Amino acid sequence: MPTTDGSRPTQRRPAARRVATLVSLAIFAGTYLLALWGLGAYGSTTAVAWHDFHAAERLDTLVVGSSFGQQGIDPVTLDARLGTTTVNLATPGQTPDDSLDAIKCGVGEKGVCHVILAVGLDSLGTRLDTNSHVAFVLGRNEGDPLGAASSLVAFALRPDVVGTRDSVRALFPWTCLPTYAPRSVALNLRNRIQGGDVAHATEELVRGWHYVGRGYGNYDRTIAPGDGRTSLQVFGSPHVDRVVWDEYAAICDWCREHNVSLTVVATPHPAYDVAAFGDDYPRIMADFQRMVQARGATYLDLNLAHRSYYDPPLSDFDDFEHLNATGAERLTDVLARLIGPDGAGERDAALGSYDDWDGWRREHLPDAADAGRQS
Amino acid sequence: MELLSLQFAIFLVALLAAYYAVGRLVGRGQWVVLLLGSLAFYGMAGTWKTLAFVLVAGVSTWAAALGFSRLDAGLKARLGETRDRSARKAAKAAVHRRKRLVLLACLALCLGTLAYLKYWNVVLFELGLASSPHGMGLLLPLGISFYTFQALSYLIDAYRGSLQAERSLPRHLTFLLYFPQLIQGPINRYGDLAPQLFSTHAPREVDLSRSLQLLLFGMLKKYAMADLLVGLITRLLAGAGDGAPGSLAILAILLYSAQQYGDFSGGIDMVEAVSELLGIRMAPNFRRPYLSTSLADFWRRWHITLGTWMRDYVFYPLALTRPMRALGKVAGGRLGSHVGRTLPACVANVAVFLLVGLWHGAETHYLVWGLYNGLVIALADLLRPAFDRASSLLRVDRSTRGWHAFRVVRTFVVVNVGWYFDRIYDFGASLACLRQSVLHPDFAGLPQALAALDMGKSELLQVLVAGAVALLVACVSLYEERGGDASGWLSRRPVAVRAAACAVMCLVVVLSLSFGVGGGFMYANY
Repeated sequence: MPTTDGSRPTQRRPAARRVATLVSLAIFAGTYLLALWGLGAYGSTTAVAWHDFHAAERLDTLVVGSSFGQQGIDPVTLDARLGTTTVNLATPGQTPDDSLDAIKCGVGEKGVCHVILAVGLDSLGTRLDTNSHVAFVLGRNEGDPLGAASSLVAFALRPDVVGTRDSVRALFPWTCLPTYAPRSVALNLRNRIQGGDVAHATEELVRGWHYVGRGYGNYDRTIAPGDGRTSLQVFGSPHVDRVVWDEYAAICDWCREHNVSLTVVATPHPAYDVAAFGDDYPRIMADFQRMVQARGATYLDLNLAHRSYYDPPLSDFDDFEHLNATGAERLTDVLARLIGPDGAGERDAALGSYDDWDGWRREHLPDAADAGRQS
Repeated sequence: MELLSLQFAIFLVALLAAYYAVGRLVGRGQWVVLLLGSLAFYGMAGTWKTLAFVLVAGVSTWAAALGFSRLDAGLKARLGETRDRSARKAAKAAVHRRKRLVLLACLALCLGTLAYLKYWNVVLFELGLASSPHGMGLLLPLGISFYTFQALSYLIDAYRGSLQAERSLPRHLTFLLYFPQLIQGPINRYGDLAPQLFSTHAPREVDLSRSLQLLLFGMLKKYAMADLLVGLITRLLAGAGDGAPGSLAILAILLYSAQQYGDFSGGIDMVEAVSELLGIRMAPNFRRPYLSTSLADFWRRWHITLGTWMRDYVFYPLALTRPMRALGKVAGGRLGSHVGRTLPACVANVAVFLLVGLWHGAETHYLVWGLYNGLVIALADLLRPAFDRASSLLRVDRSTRGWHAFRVVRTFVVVNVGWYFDRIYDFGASLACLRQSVLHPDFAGLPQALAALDMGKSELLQVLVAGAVALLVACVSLYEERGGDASGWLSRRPVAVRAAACAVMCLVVVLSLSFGVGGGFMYANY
């Protein structure tokens, strides 16, 4: 374009480029935010747990761990039995380093003095669960987007994450809590705009889940008849990750150093599920028990409970490894007796030992034991 | 380290900053940044221990090429000293013998290393001395096939005198280790890549918009199409075979054709885009292969650089050997001039494809796949006069669009038959699936068979997303086959449209990550 002033075309081009860059950035940012608000679930069981945690003024008891604890321990029942003030901060896929983080929050912010850590055999091999951790971070930093962002960036830069796709997913947190159904997207947007109740939103998004209170909710469904799946079939042979093992040890050590009473609870599975692990179950869990007890924590494996003391029917289970609402209430009742004032006395009578695994089989799988004897 | 990771993004940004800073401040030596960056990439994406193998290939081919130069220079000097014909002839023969010896030794070293690392455990397994054909405990170096072929092309071109040997070992290693090509190619030629690697580039040379579009398009193909189909294909093939509708296997193989294309060409797009950000254009490796009109045309459009490598270093040397020329002469005398001209090329083609099959793996199904492709191409060449005669008799007008479409569809079917042997890892099972597909397709039974898979909502959504991306890729391919420039078209749209298109592509790529499926690049395993 001809001009009498030779400098004008050069000045216009950088300006046009700057405008183009700004427009592009605005569109990218807008798309990011739209995806975050629309596609990222507003409610989740993790968000409910943290929301109730933040809302509590003081707590004396905290439940942490993975979905074994999230669906296994009913804090409302526990408080009713023991007179405690509990929040269930166990979340699906929670790894021990996140559990320790939750414990530190509980002790530092709410004055927690007793921790119940729920575990299962499969907990000992799960080192990294990005979906779980991102949900955990978002819940922990509820109302603090900068805190959440910096935690997510720190996670993305972890040596075991930074070279993987999970490092990208952490920067787009909605990929870890995605909802794609148009109805769910509309609910997300509505709740974010109107500031909807997290528990109610979770009930709308997570089919079958209902909120009970104190960070806890559960399902009423039971194992479908004929559903013979086991943990072994679905997740493969159990393995122990030494890093995870050390993290559990670190939890025990931290609690001992800070005078926090720690109870480690292996939540119950249907007997056939435990039996499917074979000798791996008593061998690994016995080692785990020794490690935990050597560090001053109380250890309870409810799978060792004598049937005369505690014998959950199949209808107490949501699937092969989780309890439903009825099952959790029943388990928590039992747990309250075992950790209550007279608990120490009850435990010896209530629970068997890993050393007598044949005895366990005879008691919990009498038909299989008979068949074995007859063959 | 994966390409789609924060680590790679940080690495790339840091490399670009250092690269262009050196260019601006020093004015030269950007290749040193590339070499150091490539070594760092190798350490992060592969393992440092296996770098030794790359160095062996690099040092040996560099030294051998320099040796050829010195021998040639020495010969030139000697020829200048004497006019005696027999002495000159003897001198040439001696140098030729020595060069040949060095060439063979270097070939043996490089190919021997490749063969040992890839196949030794397979041999042990076949002899009953290993429990599995895999996992010998030897780490397969990152990109071993690709840098080996690249090193050998340099070596052979130097032997032939068609390139000037590189005197600097670091520069030669830069050519071999140049990181965008490491994972799965393309196999670049020294003559094309070296001038770009060793010249200075400025940021203004880079068409950033175009490079980013190519990067995003590649990611779309890999993560939002290929990766989302992997699980479904496995499930379909698990249910296919005797007793199941043959259409189940047909569907699985059709999906595999999309998955393989998306995985490989998507990865190539990504690394080519990264290379273009450095101002360096690598050799193109794909040219809309599913729009080919013959199997030979397909292999000129799919993994182009491997095809040209095989052509220049295996096919022609083999086809032009004395025995082959003799074969052609005999065949010509007995079966006609067409057969005489074509037969050596046919035999060489079959040999090339057997080699390509072997390169994929020593398993029977890969060898059958190679043999199938070689034989189809060979027969097509041999029977061309018969096809021409038949077309003439049937009055087929080969200039029509309909005929062109027929050829494209026919080639697509022929290619997909080959994929049965590529994707179904047991040869017996691949034959069973193919037989079932041809004799008992039972398309009416397909919906029931699919319903029996009991796919969840997440899986259905994955298929939907992959299907949408496949449609986009098909439209872009058709547009470009007709001479269009899709990237150029987008670049001419208003900035808001361009940004929105890129944002949507990003969104779809990121969305595909939420399914937690997929893995590395398929061709990185070869």
